[in-house]
Amino acid sequence: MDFQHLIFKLQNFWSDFGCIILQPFDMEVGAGTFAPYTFLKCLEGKNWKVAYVQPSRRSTDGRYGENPNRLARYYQFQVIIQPYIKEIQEIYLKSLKSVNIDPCRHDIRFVEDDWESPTLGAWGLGWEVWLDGMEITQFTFFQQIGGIELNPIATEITYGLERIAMYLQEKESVFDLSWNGRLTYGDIHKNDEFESSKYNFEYSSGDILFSLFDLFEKEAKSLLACKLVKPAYEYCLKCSHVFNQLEARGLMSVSERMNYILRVRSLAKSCAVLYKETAVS
Amino acid sequence: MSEFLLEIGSGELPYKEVRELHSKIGSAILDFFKLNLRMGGELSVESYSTLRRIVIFSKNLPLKYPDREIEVIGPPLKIAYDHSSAPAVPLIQFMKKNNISDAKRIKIVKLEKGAYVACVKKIKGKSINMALAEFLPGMIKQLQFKKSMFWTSPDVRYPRPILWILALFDNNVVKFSLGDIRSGNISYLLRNCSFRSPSVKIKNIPYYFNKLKENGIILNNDDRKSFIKNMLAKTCGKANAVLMEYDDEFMDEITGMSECPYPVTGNFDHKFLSLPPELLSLVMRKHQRFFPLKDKHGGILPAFVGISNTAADDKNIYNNIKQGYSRVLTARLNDADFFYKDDLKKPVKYFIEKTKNILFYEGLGSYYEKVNRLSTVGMLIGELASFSEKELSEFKKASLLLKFDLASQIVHEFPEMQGIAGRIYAEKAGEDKTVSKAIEEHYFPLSRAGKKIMPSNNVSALCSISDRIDTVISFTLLNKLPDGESDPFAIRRAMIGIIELTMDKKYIFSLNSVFDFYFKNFFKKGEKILQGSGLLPKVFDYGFEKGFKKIAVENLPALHASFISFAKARFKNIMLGMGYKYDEIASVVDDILFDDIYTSFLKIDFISRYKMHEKMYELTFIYKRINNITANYSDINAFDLSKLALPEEKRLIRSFEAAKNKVQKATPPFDYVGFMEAYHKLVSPVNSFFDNVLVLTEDIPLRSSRIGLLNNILAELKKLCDFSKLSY
Repeated sequence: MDFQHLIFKLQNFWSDFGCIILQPFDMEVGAGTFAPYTFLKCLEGKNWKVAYVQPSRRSTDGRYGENPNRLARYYQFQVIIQPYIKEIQEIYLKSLKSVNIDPCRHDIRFVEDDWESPTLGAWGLGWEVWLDGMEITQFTFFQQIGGIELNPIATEITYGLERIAMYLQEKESVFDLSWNGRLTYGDIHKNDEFESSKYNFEYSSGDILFSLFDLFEKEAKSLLACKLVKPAYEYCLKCSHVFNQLEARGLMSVSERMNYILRVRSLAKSCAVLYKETAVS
Repeated sequence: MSEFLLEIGSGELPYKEVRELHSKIGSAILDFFKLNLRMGGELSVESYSTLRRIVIFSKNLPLKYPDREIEVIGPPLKIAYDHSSAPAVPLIQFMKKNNISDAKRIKIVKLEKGAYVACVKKIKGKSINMALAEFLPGMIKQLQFKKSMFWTSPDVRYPRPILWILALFDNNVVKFSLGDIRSGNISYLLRNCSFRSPSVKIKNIPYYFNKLKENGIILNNDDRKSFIKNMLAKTCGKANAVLMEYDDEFMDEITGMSECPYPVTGNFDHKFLSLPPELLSLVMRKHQRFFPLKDKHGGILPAFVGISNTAADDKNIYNNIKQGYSRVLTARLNDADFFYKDDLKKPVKYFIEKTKNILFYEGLGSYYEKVNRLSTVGMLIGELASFSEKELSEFKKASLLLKFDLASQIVHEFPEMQGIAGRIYAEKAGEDKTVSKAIEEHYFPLSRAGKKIMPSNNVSALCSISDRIDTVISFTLLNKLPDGESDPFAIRRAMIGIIELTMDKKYIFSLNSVFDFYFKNFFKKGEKILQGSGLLPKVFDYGFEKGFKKIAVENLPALHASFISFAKARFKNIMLGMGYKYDEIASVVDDILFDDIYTSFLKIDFISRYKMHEKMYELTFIYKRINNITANYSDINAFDLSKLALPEEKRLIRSFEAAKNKVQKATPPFDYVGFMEAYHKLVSPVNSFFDNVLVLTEDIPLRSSRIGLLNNILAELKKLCDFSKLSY
């Protein structure tokens, strides 16, 4: 199954299930959870079922395209189901069946994994899903987002698309994945990996990044003061991204790192509180 | 007799809950039965668990609570009957209310207030089924978990969502609801069969146990554990291999991760055998939960056993899983190989330089700075503990290499490789064996598979002690020693390590000198002396000095005291743990400046063995006798020899001097038996002194001299212990 077909299949499956299919959120994020489709929307506590591909950045994981399993940029398939559905694990297993993974013929495991994001002030309990020993999905019952208790809770299912595709196509390197039968993942992204790594590790400017963080934070705060929660949250995401760049460049001490995490978290929390006040009421 | 079965089915539980939760629920139910049924030994409540279910099974139960009789008091006797002894109105009403037609069932009872009529009423016992239905929801709501969540009702929490509850009393459902769940007679089997047969109706309790067994589910956690162990042994036998040693905790995790265990063996490419075996087995265990294999000579094999959660009796399914396992492991090993080889391209110096950017703790500088401090302080300890020149120079070399691997990619990816990676990289860089070994062993003492492993030689031990000394004293100077339960930086454990190592290696050194040295060398007038390289970028200007400037200088004596009492408290605990009595320990360490760990231990050990010795007993007696007289004059320590002219005084002085000389000349230095023998000679002179000399005379200078002499004797005896603290 080609990479793009894998996405189609999952989209169809979740669309049939009743999710709205959104297009990727258009900013740099570390994971699908950061997109407002998850972070803000779950705070409403309404009936919210959504699925979307989220291009995600993990700058520190870049390896110049030399490591067959590590990427600075990759794709997540994110599903949010709110409120809780009792059969959700079974439904998830059916979604695997829709991409030609028959759960009856493999060793599928739900392995304890408690998820916590210090920058988002969010946590939940759940599992990593293992397919014959390979982690292919994160499965989380969110209990808290932005420091706010969720009620009803939201279930997050995050598929690692590259991992699943490598399994299905029996490829040892992510770059050998067939994207559509003609082009490979490497044709499309290998050079991105090289350039991203060059930039992230060697060429990004510490001075610029540090001042960008301050500027973005300032903007987020003034937008919060004007009660413009979505623009404020977008600037909070920009801070989070700059933070990741600083970390990849190795420009923060451990204590400074903590300090920056707290600054992002404080913005995220303020956004969550404001969103809960304005959008929900 | 009746039977009760409860199965709480849920999303996959963490293995620690699989291990522990069932017995918590089992004992709550046992308590309930005991309290309500007043039953004893014949009652049995068994509890089982897998990751998907917690199961309670109880036999030999009665159908209902026993019937009871109660006495109902009616109206006073004087108004109950009329003149003709027939029931009067109040009694008639009472009988009506209690459904009694025959007046013969009315009896008379005498209460304090007078005589009353009464009747005996039979109360039928409630059915156990109903009692359970009332009890179970509340019991489940009150359970405590390591971590819990809610999914629909905020008052129902569990480690993962509850998906079904099967509750049968004999063949009947115990009906109750809990949040979104209603109890019933439905159960579920293996997760991966759920498409074929989503649920199973449980007709009766034996059917339940059979059905699970048929599907390969082993309910009992302990049975499953031994089943896995047997399977592993068989598999190894077939492969002509031996299992690598593993922790029981690892086995518990594997046991908790499957309800239908089936071993799958796989291989990986020979080329990965160039990776360190520690790294290979770490990747297999920690990341894949596979068991690594070795050959009969102990060499690691390119093979593993994984435990799947399927009845993988179908060849195709087995091959799917085997192939999957092998491929994932290959990907992981490729990763490890990538980082390992990348690390090896760089010289050790490169990593040392990088440790300047790894913070040890806010206010305590980087690991680079820590290493420099511990290296300096270790040289002092080594000298105090009479290390050879060679050992000292090896220590110097090793100490500077202790933390460089924290900057490597391998340790970043696999934190458990700290120390091991350092040892391997140093070896490859041509360091000698003792030096490179110390890098790994400075993390000892370690508990591995239930055994405590100690550093193998002096150099490693000194590295370990110095590292921990630096941690404890640094945190002391920040005034951050742990109090109460929490100890986030494991400082208590560091101190315990220092004590264990010192005793294991029999080192003698003064904790007080180490503290003074530490402070004098690294801090002066509140400024740090040991600078970083000066090459650190602007963002690394967190100082070693920041925390100290404020606290250390003014409060140095207080901090010094808190360090020593922290060390003393740990030491006393360890001694108690080794079985020494409280008074034996107190006599050596209480009310004195605690200083030297090993000597203190030797004294305590001597006292414990000789306390009941006649000579020791007599020494204690004279010590207490002297102490009773001089206790209020402890500041008088000098005496005028010319004033002490009585024969008993002269005799006492002579024997005291003789004993003192003997002890001072004695070799080896820790001959406490010799000490006891020598000072025992004072027993008779002291007694005759007290019998014939009035110490507290009116003649003040004379009195002072006598007290001074006695206090001198106490001071010498105290070099062994404070005898007054010994209790007989």
